[in-house]
Amino acid sequence: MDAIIECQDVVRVFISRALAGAGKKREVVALDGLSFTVPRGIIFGLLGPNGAGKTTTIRILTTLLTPTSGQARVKGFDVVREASKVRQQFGLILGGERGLYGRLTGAENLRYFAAVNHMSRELAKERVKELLQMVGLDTASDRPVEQYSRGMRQRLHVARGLLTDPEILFMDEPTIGLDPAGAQELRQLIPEFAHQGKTILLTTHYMLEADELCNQVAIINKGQIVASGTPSEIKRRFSKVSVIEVIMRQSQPGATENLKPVQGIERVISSSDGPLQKLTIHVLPGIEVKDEITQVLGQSNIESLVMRDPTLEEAYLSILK
Amino acid sequence: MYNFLVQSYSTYKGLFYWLQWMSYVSNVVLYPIAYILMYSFLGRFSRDPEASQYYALGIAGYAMAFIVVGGITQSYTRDRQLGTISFLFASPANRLANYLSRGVLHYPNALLNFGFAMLGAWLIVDLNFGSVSWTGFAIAVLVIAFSLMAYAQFMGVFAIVSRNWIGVMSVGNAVLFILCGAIIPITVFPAYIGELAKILPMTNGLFALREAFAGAPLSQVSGNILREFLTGLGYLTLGFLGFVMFERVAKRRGTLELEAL
Repeated sequence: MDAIIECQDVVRVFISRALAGAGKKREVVALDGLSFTVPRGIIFGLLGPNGAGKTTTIRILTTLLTPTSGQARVKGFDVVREASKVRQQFGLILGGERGLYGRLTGAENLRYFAAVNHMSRELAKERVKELLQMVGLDTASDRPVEQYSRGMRQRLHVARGLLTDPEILFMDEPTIGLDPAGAQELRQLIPEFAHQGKTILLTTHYMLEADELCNQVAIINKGQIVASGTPSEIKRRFSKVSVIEVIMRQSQPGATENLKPVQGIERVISSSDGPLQKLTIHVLPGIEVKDEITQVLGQSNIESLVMRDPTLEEAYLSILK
Repeated sequence: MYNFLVQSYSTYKGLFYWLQWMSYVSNVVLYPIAYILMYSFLGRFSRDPEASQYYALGIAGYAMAFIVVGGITQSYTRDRQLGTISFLFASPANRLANYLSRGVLHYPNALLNFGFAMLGAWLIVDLNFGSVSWTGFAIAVLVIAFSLMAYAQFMGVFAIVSRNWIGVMSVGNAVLFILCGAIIPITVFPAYIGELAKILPMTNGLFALREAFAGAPLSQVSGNILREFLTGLGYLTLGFLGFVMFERVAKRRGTLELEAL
């Protein structure tokens, strides 16, 4: 598959000074030799903790930030030397409250951004109507955005990102701050964009979101890619534990403490599954512990005992440790 | 042209927070009338019959600066505070068209302010319009409004960098108030200050305005009107260069999204 987005040894250093420029200089290395490629036509997730460099990466690829060194290309165009060509290739969807004119209506916001993107009057009119309907804001399109809820604003962000029907979408934490229903609604739209042939680069720190949506992921930490592949590959390759889930018939408050001494058990997490107690047991790979677990907890107390693949979150936490 | 007008309308309605009827009426109607009355009576109190007229015309010009500089500088600061400027800078927007579109709808506000100032001066201070050479007078007003709008666009660069439109407006307007001949004739300043004043907006325009008010024909005032227009063009150009430079420097330093200076 050909690469539509490429980063090669990208470094970005931020320099700040205290006391409005007169004080001590401080350097923060946000990206430290970042390299990855995104093939055309997939949903690519960039995962990482806060401060890992996800947003900095998006800003460089969308020409809002210049790299200190290294090269980044979008559809073959260099983000520094050919920035004006790069800006014609993508739509940008950011999370958060900012980025919209509160005193303008939803439709007016979209018309403004259609105008700055050189869309003709007729095309803009048609596209604004279509997108407002698609994101469910057609009945609210004549209300000022300052009256919109958080979820409505985020949907307007999505509509704006799709205005020019771009081939590439950059989505920076698009579900941040949304309630579960709002986030789910938004997530349901993303695969549709991919079916239309778009390439999506999505940053998130919600592992479930990445696992659900992404064809490929890269995990970024301290400005570098530390793992990349499909979600399944990452789970298999990087998780340092196997996972056994036990549902207890009766709650056993001491179950966690009783299991810890068992050789091979790394960690025990107790939680509720409705009225039942659930134990999530992290086990070192290659060590058989089912018999010991059954013995400690008591066969008659165990409703079910299953071994499952680690989640992307568990693999991610293993990588970051 | 349609896209240019959409950008003008959107930045005006979206970023000009004085566009609520109470703020608008007080800034466009009440403010110029109040200032005219204050300074015209001050002139009358000074027992110099010329002073009242001198102040009235100067303050009417200054009133234009207040509404335009205030309106445009706040637009620039707010565009950055709202985070909307990032979406502009990530787009293939024509930077010159976007920059120019920001001043267009503020221009009529300057003319309205001048109109209300003159109305107040005529009704309450008995300013006598009997000798006015109307062609030169009207053109002088239009050109002063243009150069003030251009000056405001230039100050807009400082407003977007500092995120402090009130400070920028205050300083920008104070410079005009003191140095442009609004109430203090520039002849009282040292020569070098007088030369500096001539490259500020409104200075040359006020010369033309006062001469036309006293009856000078267009041919006599056209030199100052042209100088005023060229001054405006200069500020508009400098402002655009500043706008472009701001984008480049902010992207290089990574300061576009900063909340604090």
